[in-house]
Amino acid sequence: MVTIIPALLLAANGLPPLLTSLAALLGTYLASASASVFNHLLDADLDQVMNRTRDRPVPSGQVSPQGAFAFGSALGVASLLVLYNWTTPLATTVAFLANAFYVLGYTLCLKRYTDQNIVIGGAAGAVGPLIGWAAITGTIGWPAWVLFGVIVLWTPPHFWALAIKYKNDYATANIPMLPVTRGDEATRRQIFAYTLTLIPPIIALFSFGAAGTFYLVTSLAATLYFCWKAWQLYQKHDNSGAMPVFHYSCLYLFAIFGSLTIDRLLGGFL
Amino acid sequence: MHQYSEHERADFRRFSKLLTWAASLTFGLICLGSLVRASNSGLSCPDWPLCYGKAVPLFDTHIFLEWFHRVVAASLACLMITAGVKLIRSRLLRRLFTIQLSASAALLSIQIVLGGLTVLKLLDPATVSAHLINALLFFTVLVWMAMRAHSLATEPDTQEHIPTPLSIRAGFITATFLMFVQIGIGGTVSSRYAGLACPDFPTCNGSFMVPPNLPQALQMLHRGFALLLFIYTCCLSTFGSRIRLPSSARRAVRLVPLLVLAQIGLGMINIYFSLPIWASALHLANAAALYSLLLLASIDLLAQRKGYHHGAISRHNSAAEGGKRFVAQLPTTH
Repeated sequence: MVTIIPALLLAANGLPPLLTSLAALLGTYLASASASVFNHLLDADLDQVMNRTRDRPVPSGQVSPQGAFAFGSALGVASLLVLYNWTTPLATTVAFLANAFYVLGYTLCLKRYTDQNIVIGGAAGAVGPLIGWAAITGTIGWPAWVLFGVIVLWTPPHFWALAIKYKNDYATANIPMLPVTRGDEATRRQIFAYTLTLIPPIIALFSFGAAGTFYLVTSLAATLYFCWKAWQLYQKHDNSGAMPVFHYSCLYLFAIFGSLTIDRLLGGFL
Repeated sequence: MHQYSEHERADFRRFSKLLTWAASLTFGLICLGSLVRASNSGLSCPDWPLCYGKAVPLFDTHIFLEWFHRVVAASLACLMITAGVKLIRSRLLRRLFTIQLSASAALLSIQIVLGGLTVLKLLDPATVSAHLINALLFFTVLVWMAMRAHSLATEPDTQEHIPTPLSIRAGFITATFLMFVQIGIGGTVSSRYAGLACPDFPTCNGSFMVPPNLPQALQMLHRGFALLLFIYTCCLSTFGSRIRLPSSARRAVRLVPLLVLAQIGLGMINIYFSLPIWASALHLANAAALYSLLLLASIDLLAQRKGYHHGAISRHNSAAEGGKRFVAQLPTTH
């Protein structure tokens, strides 16, 4: 959700129309909710086995599969209606494709069969900027793609840090997350590598004129700190630093998109 | 269950291999036919069965594609004749496969005649559509026969036996049938040049109402059916993924909805970019792949239907079986 706002500002080159913005936010929210419900439905058997997820409504039996299917479909249709009526057809299409890819591509196909599941599936969660931009202009500008890329590259360190902590849970459910398939050491190394890949796109937004100095200073600092924490995790050769990296990764995304928002609201003043 | 000797099973194995090659060749032939149509090469040889009066003509791209299609079809016919000879010489095979092999031989003969008529009647729409539908019918019988031979060749102990509820079996068979129908509709869209009848998507000239003229109506029927198939296969996968299924049905549950989505994408590309050859060719090839996945699953489910008890739904669902095997074969990690 947060990822949509800067795209709205960038695409509108100022303050975006309120109705369109709200529709983009609501529509995306409904689409992700729909995707999430279908994911719960399809992964109910895995969720039952894992401690972290066994109290979810479908695996715990509080919601029937048919009920979940109906609810998920209703949310999905609602998201399409909201987006189609108050934003553009492109934004609607992107939201639908992301939803479909998450459910059919990631949940049904990738998740149980490859440890690159979240790397590829991450694309589904990265479409916020694309939807925001498309909602305003009906096309997708390059800064939206850069932001999309940032989220895609951020996804592996975010989820793998979590997966390190819950490795046994995932192993019990036979989900091939990286710590299960290639071990903690390889996972820590790859987390660090991915944080490094965040630096070029972050800088690119500034160098190619989409954002100003305030954004550059704040985001670069946040990114370098992220790399530093990942480096510490790697150097320690144990898992004590995994959850701090995970918690910071959540904060990091807020920092990047927040600083971009503020930068644009200030009109590149700083 | 009849127990076959090792020698008899070896016979079945060889027969099954031959039929599997034939089925794979048929699949390739359907994809090739798609390419011939997409590249407008259907009439590049004005005569039939020779091309410009020769067995091997002077080639350009179009002539080559049409000629190659005929050559592969001829190879398939040779394979089927070989299967026929094997059948005639074996009492066991005669007893078990005469009807099916005769049916597929008849269908292949019809297909060859239709192929000739397609050229001689200058791509008459009904003939082109019939050529595709008959190809699918032949493919269906052939695959069924190949799978029967394969299951006869494997020892009963090593075979999968996973009975499933009637609703799932009916669901898969319906999906297979719907896919067959949709391919028929798509073939008619193509043969009547209705691919670009509607300038926009998903509406037709701005409206969702059924248009008054045939090409546009066909186009909208095709799109409507695609939506129906998308919803139907998603439902099937959602509920099918919750129970234990034979491996072919597991595969279908995983891949079919995604491929249907890709198919819709290809359809949209065909519209927005005015039938680029690669997209048009892939559209039927992908459809054939979808049909194959569903057909294999349906046949397997029907073969393994005996012995299902309600309440026997396993906690570890069909997709988890595959994931378990994947993780189990990885080198041990710390």
